[in-house]
Amino acid sequence: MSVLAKWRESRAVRKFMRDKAAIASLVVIGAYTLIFLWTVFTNLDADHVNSKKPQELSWLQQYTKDTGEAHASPSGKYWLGTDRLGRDITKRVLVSVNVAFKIGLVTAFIACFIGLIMGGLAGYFGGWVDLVITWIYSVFSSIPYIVLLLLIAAIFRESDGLTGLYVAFGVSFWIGPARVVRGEIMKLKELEYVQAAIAMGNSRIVVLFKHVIPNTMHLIFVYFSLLFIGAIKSEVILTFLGLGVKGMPSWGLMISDAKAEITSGIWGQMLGASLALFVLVYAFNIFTDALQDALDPKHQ
Amino acid sequence: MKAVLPRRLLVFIGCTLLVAGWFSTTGCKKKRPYIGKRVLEIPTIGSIGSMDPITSNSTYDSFSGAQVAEPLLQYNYVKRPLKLEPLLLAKMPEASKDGKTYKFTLKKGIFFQDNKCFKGGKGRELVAKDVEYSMKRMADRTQKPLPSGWWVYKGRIVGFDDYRKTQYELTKKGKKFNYDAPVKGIKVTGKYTFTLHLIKPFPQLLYIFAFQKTAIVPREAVEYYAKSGRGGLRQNPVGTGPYILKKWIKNVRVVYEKNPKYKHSTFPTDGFSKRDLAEGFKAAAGKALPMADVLIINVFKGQAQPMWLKFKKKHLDFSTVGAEYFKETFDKKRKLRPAMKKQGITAYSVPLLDFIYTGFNFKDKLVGSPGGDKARYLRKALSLAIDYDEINRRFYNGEVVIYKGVIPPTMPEYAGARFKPDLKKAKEYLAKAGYPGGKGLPTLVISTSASSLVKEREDVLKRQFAKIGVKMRYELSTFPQLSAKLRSGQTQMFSLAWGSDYPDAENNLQLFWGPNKAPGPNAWYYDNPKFNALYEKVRIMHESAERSKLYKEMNQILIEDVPFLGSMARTRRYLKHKHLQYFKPNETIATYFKYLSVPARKK
Amino acid sequence: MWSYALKRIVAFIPVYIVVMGFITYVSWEHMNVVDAHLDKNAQAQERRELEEQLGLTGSVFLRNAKKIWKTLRFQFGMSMTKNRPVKTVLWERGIISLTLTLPALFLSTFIAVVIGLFAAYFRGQAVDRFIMMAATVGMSVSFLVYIIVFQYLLTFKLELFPTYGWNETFLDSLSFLVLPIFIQVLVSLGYDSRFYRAVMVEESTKDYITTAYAKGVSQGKVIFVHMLRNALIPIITRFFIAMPFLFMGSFLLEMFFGIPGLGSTMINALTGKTDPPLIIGATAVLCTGYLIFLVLTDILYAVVDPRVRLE
Repeated sequence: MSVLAKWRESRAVRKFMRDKAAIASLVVIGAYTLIFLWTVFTNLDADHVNSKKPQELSWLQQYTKDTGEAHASPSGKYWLGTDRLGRDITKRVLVSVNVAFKIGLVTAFIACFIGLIMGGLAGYFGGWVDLVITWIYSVFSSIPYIVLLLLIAAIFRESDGLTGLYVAFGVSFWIGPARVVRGEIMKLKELEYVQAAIAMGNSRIVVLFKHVIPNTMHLIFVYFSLLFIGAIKSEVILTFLGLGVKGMPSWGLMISDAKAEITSGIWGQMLGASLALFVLVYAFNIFTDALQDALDPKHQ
Repeated sequence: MKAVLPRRLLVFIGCTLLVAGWFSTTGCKKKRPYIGKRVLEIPTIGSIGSMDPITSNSTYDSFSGAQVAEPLLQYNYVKRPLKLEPLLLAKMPEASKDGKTYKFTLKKGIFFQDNKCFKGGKGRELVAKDVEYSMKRMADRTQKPLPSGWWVYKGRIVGFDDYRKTQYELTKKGKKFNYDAPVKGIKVTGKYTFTLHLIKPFPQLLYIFAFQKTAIVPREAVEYYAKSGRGGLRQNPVGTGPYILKKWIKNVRVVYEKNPKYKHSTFPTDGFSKRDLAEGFKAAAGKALPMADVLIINVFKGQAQPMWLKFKKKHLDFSTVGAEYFKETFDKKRKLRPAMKKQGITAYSVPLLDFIYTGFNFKDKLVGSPGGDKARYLRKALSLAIDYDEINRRFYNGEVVIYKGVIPPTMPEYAGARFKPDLKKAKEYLAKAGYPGGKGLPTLVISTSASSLVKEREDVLKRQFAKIGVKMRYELSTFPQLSAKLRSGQTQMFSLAWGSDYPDAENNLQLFWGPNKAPGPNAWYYDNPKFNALYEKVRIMHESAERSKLYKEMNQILIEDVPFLGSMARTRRYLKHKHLQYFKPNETIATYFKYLSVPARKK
Repeated sequence: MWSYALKRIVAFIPVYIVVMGFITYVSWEHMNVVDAHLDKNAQAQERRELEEQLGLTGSVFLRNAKKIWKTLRFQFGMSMTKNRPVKTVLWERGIISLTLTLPALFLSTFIAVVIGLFAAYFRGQAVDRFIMMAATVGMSVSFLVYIIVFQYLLTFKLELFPTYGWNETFLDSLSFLVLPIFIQVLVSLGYDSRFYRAVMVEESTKDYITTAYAKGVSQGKVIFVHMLRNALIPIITRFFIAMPFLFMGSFLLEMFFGIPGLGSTMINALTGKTDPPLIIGATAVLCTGYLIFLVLTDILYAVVDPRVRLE
């Protein structure tokens, strides 16, 4: 890595560590990640769980078992009560982290990857490459976001909903990172050391990957964080419309079920799902802010 | 410099005014309309697409359109099982001995509603030519959208199919649809009389004439509203009905006002049930209709919550009970809770003519005819393993009727409630089918359209089948995708439902007639020569003890052959407030709102 | 400058053609239109007749070419679910959507700019940190939760506002709009306040501010006059970019509050009974609007920043 990048990184890390709110948000995100890993390493497959009796299952694996008391009030036994099929809401809230993280991670990764490639090529090579890519970018951004999402979700309705969401989100979200990467690279390629590297005989591609792209990574990190949350929030709305995840519990599903429950005075599911979602989103927002502060000296 | 400040001040003042304006409009309540009149406020949960009979597709279209345009026959409001009676006719139509000729006589002195499409704005008298015209409209392929109800006349009336084809060819060449060209089988014999000649006997013909699709409309209205370009008859219905359409705000509400010239139908005078008498129906016997002055249908497109909240606040006279509110309304024994009773609310149960099932595709090698007897044992095994009581309890609040065969409850040939699962027998049949303990049987695939709780349903079924060692999974798609799959036979098993079009078991039995196979309604591709022969016999028989016997026999064949796992029929619950009178809810009698009465509206 | 504008417009035409072509093709061919509109008693003949009427027979290429050509000529035909000309439906429902989104946009921009100014004024102090925290909290709550909670509290529990519905004329419907607009403003405030604060802060680092202070101009005047004026460009740009989407409305609010706007109509055309003409028409309007505003903003930038023009 170039000297410039190293300098930036250490200063950024130091600045980051000084921000107490940032540390707190990192802790929260870490906690959620642990929960996610917990759900990954527990066999939550519905078939498996259904074929076993409650005694044979771990605490978390019972998330889909009917306790026999539908709509129980929050108590010591069921911290958030049970839903209309008698399932423990607390467990379901935790299992929903699985879907949330999967969608967030995969989508953010796909979008950032595509964005990086497209933005990189456009910004670096300029000329007709840039023209074509900007043109493609205009096409995608001029279709109303929701229309694109729905069309793709409708085409992919067959499966359990996840593949369709990945494609839909990936295709809609790559635009942000691409635009920003392109802009940054256009500035970077004018820098002296880059020109020098090319003049010294290094191939343009090598320079692109060794020097230029690494210096856009700070933007990518920020976007990754933003899109992670953006995808999760959008999934909640799509699931509510009936297009999102179907198989596993998700906060979107729980909120849409809870909507009717609250008029009957049952608030457990609403509280649990919205709170879990809120805390994650809030933590990420704080984290993203701190990240931007740390990595971009101009950002206030 | 100075210019910026005043500009911002202006914007600020403007915004404050706007906000103040909003709050003031909320604060001062508008004067309630129709004070002193009897105003019915009823809900509908689906949106109303068209009030033109020929494009009237859903129950919501039918019920709202029936207030304005009426069909020749209607179902009696109070008699159960449902009985047809004349509405625009002087008496029930007379059928010839061979069942191929029907003579209709209209009641004299029935007038269309006053409407600006008529000369001088006054509605004229209904005559037989109007019936001929209304029927011909269904054959007009230039109508956009395409009249979806043509199937009621298809292949029934002499010369009608030819007429439709010829007219279509002519319109393709640029000519206009000719409503005056004659149809051999529809003969107007006098001012109020006409005769229909059928290609072959069709005993269910009279049910067709109770459909909202066949309601009578005047030619003047069709031509007038087609010109003005504001949605034709779909948005501007005109007919002989008890209510006149006043205002229609799409997806919000429809407002009707009483038709003062409505004389040809009055409140029933007999056939009251014990409950009807207890609720004072006799007091209204023979009274003029409609019983209210204003009818308002509030549309709650797919949103059960606002409807429920409005009902609780007494802004609606009656309501159905959504699944989410079931527990709040009924106790564990499914009786109305005291809290509801205290408010003067009463509950009604309406059994629906549902046939909800999981079908087998008989073209499939594993579960269908190619599998022969082994396939049949497999089907039988599955039918003995599935536990509908659990499904009923979990997903339907126990409100569903589980029954044998294809004929739903309330029909005379209903085969009765279904037996409980028998796992021992199921395992025996499974072994006979060649899959002892489920060994060697691949995972079964059930195609279904996605709905909420679909995963939970899959889990329940998986568990039930797992008890005999059978594996299954759902294959999800949207409803149109599922229809497409069924029409091309690309399923193994499928979950679907059928609602009877009319209260005659023939409508359900015809689903299994060989020639009806996909792309017709026979999605099972079921083709049993014995069944086919019986169907061809009963389809031309009128209601009789002999026919009922044959219906039962056919039902029994299906129960033995197991072309589907099932069946279920939902029971819809209605609640009404004390002030609503003469309420006997049902989902077939589209014309029944005219019998409802409420006290006059106070301030 | 006009040649610049023209160049941009010409560049966008192929974009529009590709987008509309894609939408037309997918809506007609991949959304099971025919099956969505068939009666349950329909058989093969009915299916064929419907296909014929909808123009879905013959070669795939030809029939789509015909439809795309119609789309490009802005001929959208009749809505299949509303049975009225698509243009009429778009217009009527779009206006209704606007009565929610336009006031909401004005209000939220206004309030957010004021908040942003205050936060920038008190930058670093407790007030600023509090405002920023509130804004972050605000934008972290899901739109859905806002709607459900407020609808429950204000219409059900406290009965301050009507739950649901609409009236024929705009004036009658005002009371139905208050709560949705309130929620829309609330939801946007978080994002917007942060954005405008950042804009203000960015401006405050510029040279002319230090010069103004040096010249002795009061802090208030500096903020509210000089800074605001120069910050107007990003403010207006953001306002502009939001414009085309106003027409479509906020579909969630429309669904929950029963407001017959374009947003909920679009959702129904896509997820309920498929209505390709409506989907195509609405997308065309939105796409055109978006591209026009994109060109306008580009022109605005070119006017303001001469360097851009020379590119």
